[in-house]
Amino acid sequence: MLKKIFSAMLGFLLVFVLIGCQPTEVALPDLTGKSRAQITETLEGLNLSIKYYFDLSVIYDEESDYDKFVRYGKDENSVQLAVGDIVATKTEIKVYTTPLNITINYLYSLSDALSLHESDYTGKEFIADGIGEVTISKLVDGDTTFFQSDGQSYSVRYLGIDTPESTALYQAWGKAAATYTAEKLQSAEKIVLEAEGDRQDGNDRYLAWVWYLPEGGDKFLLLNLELVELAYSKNKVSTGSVYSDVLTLADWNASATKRRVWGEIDPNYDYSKEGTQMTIAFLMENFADYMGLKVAISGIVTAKIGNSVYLQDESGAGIYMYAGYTSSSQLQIGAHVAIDGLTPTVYSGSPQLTNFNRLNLSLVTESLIITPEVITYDDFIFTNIGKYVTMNQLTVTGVNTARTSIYVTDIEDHEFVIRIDDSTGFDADDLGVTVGQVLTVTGPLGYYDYDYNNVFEGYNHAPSKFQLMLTASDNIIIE
Amino acid sequence: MKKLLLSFVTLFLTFGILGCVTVGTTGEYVYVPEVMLTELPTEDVEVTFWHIYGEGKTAVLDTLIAEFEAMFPNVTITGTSQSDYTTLRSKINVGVSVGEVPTMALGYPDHYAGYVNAHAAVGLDPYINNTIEYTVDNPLSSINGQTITTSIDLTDFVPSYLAENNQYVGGYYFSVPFSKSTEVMAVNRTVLKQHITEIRALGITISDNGFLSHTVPLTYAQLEALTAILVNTSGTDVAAYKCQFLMNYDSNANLFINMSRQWNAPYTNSAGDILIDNDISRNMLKYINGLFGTNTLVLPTEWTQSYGSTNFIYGDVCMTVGSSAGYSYNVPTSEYKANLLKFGIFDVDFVQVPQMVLTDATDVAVTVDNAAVTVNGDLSAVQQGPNIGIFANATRAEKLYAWLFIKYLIEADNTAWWAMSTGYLPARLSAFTSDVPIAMTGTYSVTYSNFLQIAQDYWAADGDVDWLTTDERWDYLYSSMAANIAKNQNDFYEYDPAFSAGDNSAGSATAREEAGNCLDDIYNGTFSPTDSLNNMKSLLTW
Repeated sequence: MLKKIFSAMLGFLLVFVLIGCQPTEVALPDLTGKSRAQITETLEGLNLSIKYYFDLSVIYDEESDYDKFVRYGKDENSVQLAVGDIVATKTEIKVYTTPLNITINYLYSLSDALSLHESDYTGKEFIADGIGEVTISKLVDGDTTFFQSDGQSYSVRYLGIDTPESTALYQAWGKAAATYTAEKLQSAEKIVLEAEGDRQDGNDRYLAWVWYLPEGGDKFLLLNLELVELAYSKNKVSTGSVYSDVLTLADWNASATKRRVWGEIDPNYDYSKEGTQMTIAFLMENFADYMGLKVAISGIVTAKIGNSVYLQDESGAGIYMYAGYTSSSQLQIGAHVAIDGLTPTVYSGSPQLTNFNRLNLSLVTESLIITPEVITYDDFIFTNIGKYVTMNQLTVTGVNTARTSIYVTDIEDHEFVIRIDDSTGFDADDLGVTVGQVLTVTGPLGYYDYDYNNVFEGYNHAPSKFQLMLTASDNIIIE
Repeated sequence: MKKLLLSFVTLFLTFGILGCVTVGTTGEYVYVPEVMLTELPTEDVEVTFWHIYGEGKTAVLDTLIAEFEAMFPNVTITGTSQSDYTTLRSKINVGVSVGEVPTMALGYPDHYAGYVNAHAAVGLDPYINNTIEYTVDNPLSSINGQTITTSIDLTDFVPSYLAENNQYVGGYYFSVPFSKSTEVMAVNRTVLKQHITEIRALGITISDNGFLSHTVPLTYAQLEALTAILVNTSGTDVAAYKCQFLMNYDSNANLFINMSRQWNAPYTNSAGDILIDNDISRNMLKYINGLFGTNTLVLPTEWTQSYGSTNFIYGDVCMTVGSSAGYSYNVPTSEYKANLLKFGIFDVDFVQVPQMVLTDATDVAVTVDNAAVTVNGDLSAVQQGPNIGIFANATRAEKLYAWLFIKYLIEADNTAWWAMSTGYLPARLSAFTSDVPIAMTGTYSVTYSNFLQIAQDYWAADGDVDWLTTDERWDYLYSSMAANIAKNQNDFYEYDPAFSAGDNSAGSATAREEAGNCLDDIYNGTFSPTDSLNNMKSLLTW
């Protein structure tokens, strides 16, 4: 009996001691180097609950940087918590981590019904049959490529995705997405396009799912899905598509990591709004260094093509500024304007400024007179592209079928093109241009290389691909 | 945990819920009002905001976010674009099923009907009516020491905007108007100008320079008469200034729904009933089919396009109805290839959407299948554009700051700036009368009323204004036109009821989709009007 009483008392004592000893406060541990799973285990073990946040304020450039503890957040009294601080148990602790690791869950494990098989495309051609093997004709960006089949080249916009821009517009992660797409396509053993739904978009681009057989691989991979899984693109839900569900799941998983397009800083993107102030001459001399960044320039409008303009500084250096559908009444010929936040890019080998926003424009002076510089074929060098010039003694050797390209030779028989832009509303016939005539033409110096493959470094600007842009009908004199 | 989450998501998708109907019903809705915090939280708060905006609109939004964060330095607003509304809704539906949603998001009434049904959306009335005064106590705040409230004056909103947002359960607000728009009709004034005498002979008011009335809409009867003057059915005839089609309607669903209202044809109701099986709807579809047959009316499917703007600009069609927020797509510019612009860079004007009648409850006789039919018509123009709301699983601090951010977004001057920068319409009435100039560029500031005045001055001068080419009013002329037209027809804005799928019928989002398909099927000759309506009914009810 006494033994039972003693045991009971001992039991009560133990319970009492245990309850009494359970801490009501704990010190925050050092979680450096810990992943979210480890952080959760550690803090829950201390009877704390956790609310996670991401620290997206710095660049993470090593794979080992991801899914790591950064710091504690503030408590409910707005006090910044740190390692060693004493907190009450059962409270919610805010924890900041780096973005998470990306996991590929679907790309390699698509069901048989969703996968591409050789029998699906053998003997078929994409344009005619909606599926077929193609080759690369020209790379554009992360979600658009020119492909070729059956002897014709055509632009293809990838279905179900929308990578950031890297051509006319320049957005964070756009160049990275373009580079990734290029690498996968260029190293592929085979590329197959598969149509679904509408064949073309409003810009006459074909729409397709893009399959590729990796070098040494035995299974086709769906590049559209891969770009979403790797957070190079957000998913655009294609209602009714057989791939909608898997793309939505991939998008969901990728967005939860906060990687790349979901919030991570792109180390190669200029997030500043104004950009670096510089002259057009300095920009042209150092163009490669500023590609994709932001610049602020000022210059006089020398010519207009639609909403877009050519700008020229006091030294005579010029550049084309692409405005797209953004019109501005301030951009009149002769106006001296200052524009911030422009992004230098290259289109078909020609330097240009993009990212124009009316909010960043200010008018310095109106109605200045521009005097063109007389140049010759020997002046067809990169730093002169965009300059407002006059060329004499140009003999017409032909006109293209659209009547918008006038082929000429100079007095030393160098051949090049005088280009009449579509937006002018006139053509060679309207101007009375015929073969054998000798012309004097004034306009901005342009450049166009259809085969330019979006790699500026190491690219040589061929004089034969320079063009003299005819933007007004009174800028041509037929002698 | 992650695997569990993934399993839930996969299960969710397996049942085919994604993107086509709505999140699951959770029984009869029990409204539990939010309990308001009595002080402003000073802890770090992150508010996640899902929208669908691209670079341009995001830049405007980012400015407003930066201003808000300067007022509340402990708050971070993280905006994320989800590309488009279909994607946004799909991701939220997936998120609702696993308790992972943003703090706040844009959404159409159809979307919020689903979120409310799943108990995922927060009832906003406690914030709207909250009488607590909060003092900002943060030396880093741009409004440190000031007293603020969460309440808003509902009488300052367009009434039909409000009605759209409290239609879900018990008259409570689960969203508030943010970025509103309507439909307007762009017309090729260059073509009209060549036919002024003939047009006036029809009794239609038109100025010497080809401007139609901006306060009185055209009727469908007038459109039928105009077809004889402005249309060459075998193809656009540039020399004769005739287009192949008279009028394009971008949104086939809006055409069905808005025409139903104009005909007083039952469509759906807030109880979720599908009401289309009636003689008025059948006659309406036959009438529309007649308009298709004479090239008076065309749908973008004619050109295998989603919108008819490009073909309007190309000169294939003389008029086009589309969103007021998309006005710029209907203005030809030198960015288009000149050889594709049959009428070159022609003059554009904007007018109200066509109506069956000019006064509510008026009878009008139309011909349907060679027989006279009397329509008792009403005026109606579509009210559209996203609203904005908060999700239930956010913390009380997150919800409070999300609401304060919403309140900031729809302040009179901010909603006016948003409207003038994006092409949408102000959510609040006081935006129209505010005398605070808003800086649009470094050199141009304008009040919303003066912004509206731009088009009014242009119209008053019959397009013959003496503005310098560098006058920045030119940059806002067309957006001002669209905004004026939208304002002029706001007396008859209508919205369709939003409801989730029921046991025997589809939800409002599916009904809208099938309404559009019904008209496409008629246009493409897949079904007769009667068969197309029967097909629509079979798809929406079971």
